[in-house]
Amino acid sequence: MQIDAFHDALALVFTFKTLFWLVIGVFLGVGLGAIPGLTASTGIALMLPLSFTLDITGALGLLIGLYKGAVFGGSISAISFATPGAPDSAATVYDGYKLTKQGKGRKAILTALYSSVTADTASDIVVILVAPSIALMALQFGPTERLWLMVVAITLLGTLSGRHLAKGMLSAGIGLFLGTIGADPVSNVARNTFGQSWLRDGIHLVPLVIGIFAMSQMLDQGLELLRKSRTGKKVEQSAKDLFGAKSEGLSFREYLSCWREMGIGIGVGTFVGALPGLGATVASFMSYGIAKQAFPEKKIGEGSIHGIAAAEAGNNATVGPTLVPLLAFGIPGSATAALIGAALILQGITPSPRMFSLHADVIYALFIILILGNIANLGIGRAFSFLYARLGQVPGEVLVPIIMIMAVIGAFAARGDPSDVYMMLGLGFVGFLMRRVGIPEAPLVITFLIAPLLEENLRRALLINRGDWGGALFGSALGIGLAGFAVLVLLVTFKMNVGSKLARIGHAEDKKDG
Amino acid sequence: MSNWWRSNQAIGLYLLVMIGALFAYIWLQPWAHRVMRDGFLLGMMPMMGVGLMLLCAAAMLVDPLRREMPETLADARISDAWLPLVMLAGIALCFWAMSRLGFVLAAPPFLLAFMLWFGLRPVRLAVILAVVVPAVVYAFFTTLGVRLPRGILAGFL
Repeated sequence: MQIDAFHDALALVFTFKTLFWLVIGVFLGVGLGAIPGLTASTGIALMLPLSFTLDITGALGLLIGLYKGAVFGGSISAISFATPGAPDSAATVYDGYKLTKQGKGRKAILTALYSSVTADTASDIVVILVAPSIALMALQFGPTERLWLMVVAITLLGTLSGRHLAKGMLSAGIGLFLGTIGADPVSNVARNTFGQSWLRDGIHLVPLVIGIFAMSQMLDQGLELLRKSRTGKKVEQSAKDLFGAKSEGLSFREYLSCWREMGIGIGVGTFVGALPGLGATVASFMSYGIAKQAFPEKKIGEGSIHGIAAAEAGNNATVGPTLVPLLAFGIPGSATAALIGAALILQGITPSPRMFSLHADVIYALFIILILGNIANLGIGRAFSFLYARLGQVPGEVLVPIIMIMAVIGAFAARGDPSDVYMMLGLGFVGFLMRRVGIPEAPLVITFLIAPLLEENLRRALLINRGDWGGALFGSALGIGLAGFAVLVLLVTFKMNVGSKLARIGHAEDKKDG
Repeated sequence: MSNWWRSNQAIGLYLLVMIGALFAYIWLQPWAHRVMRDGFLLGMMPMMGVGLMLLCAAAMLVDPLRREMPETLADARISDAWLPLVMLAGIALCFWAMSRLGFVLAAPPFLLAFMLWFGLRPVRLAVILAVVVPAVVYAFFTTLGVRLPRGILAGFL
């Protein structure tokens, strides 16, 4: 451990500004998560331009706080209205809403909060212990190994991001293509610009992420609203009396009684979170399913706090580990990790294993922020959850136009370039079409980020091997192993239809629940 | 057969045609075949990207899920294609107005129009929100040091 760097990190984090932005991040995140239809990715995409105006720790505090808050926040509307704020919290509906109907909404939300924070903290500790060792190992990799590692990450993302292998890989292909627009990363020669001089610098990351994650979602929701207002169907929801003063709280003994379910959530969430492509929804349903099978006497699915503990521990335990591939290899393993990686890049720090030696203070600051984010989540969740439950009632008719305006501001504020706004709108439509035909967005954004690195490493490997493609691609045993693994992942996913099976985990529970 | 046009196979076919045209366009560009000093083909990575897309679109024609219809397309209507374009045109118009009139003047009509279009009632609430929200957003971003377009009010704000 580099003591000086750790001291620097403490000095960076324990400033009013950083702590302020961390609390603001969690505060916004829980609220965002509590609003059905808004996800952590949407929030981070919208906040990315704002992070430019902050220093590195402030930006990390804002984005990581928002991420942690949003993953927990999703459970609030899941428990209050049986409408998960995000797919990550869908498994919480089964037990959470039943408890709310029994007048135990407060107990359900507190179980979700405590199990989320417990699992998040435990998985963060695993990240802090494991990431530096993996990064140390990754430092030994040459361009060939790094190239194949990226191919493995793209393959995993493409194959596991949805139930349709071809669509996941198609999304990765679109990202790879968009990532090559503009000057090539080695010789700086313009290509793929369609004769447009404004494309010479390539597609900027901010309009891409805002367009793909935020604008596309708002177009989708706007369309839903237009349909709803035409058919005259309005869902009236009320949080009144759900969490009245008489509502039962959660005792310490009850919290402790969930240790097995939380343990399952921590194990599953940490493992799933570290793998590129899977994410919190799969972790949540997997840990819920395992707990239900393992402890039938706890009547999970019939309004049990143990079901909530398993699901919420499962999704929150992915938050820290999702950063492991980013920090250890410089390859984001999820859309949110890609956005946090983008924030680092925009702050002038390239995520890579070398970050541990070049920017050790930032790494330690990030670790401290991960832990502090949990404390902020606990405090804000405890104090405001019951108010946030009402936030889920803010009508989409108000939210959608406001978020559309925020998306425009975000795309414009990043560089002050009007073409970024039009680019964001165009990409928003592309994202909307992708949603409509079931093409996942995450592989696109991650491959877009990886594309220049992929080309750099390929060309470096070729230079080292004097233009010999065989040597550049298969010059080391590890490179061959990683290439074989990528092929194996593709074959196994195709043969066993793994993506489809993972997608069905949630659907099966839905059907059982009726 | 009536719903075939919504199936994965049909989507694969549309994509195959579009991506095929894109591949042909790139192939015909002189830069795509330019050899760089390190011996690398300048068009290789773009063609790899389009090639991967082409392969995946072709796979959608024949893979086991080809007859399935994406859930989101099950009740799709023609308006699903043009309504988002109208929304985007409205946002683009708002941004165009923003760069001339300024954020504070251009955002309220946009918000009001979209809130009413999406079905927010009563109208009075939409008017209040359309005025208050841009003012708050402007104040928030200005405090953070982010300059939003000020347009004709540049002298006052």
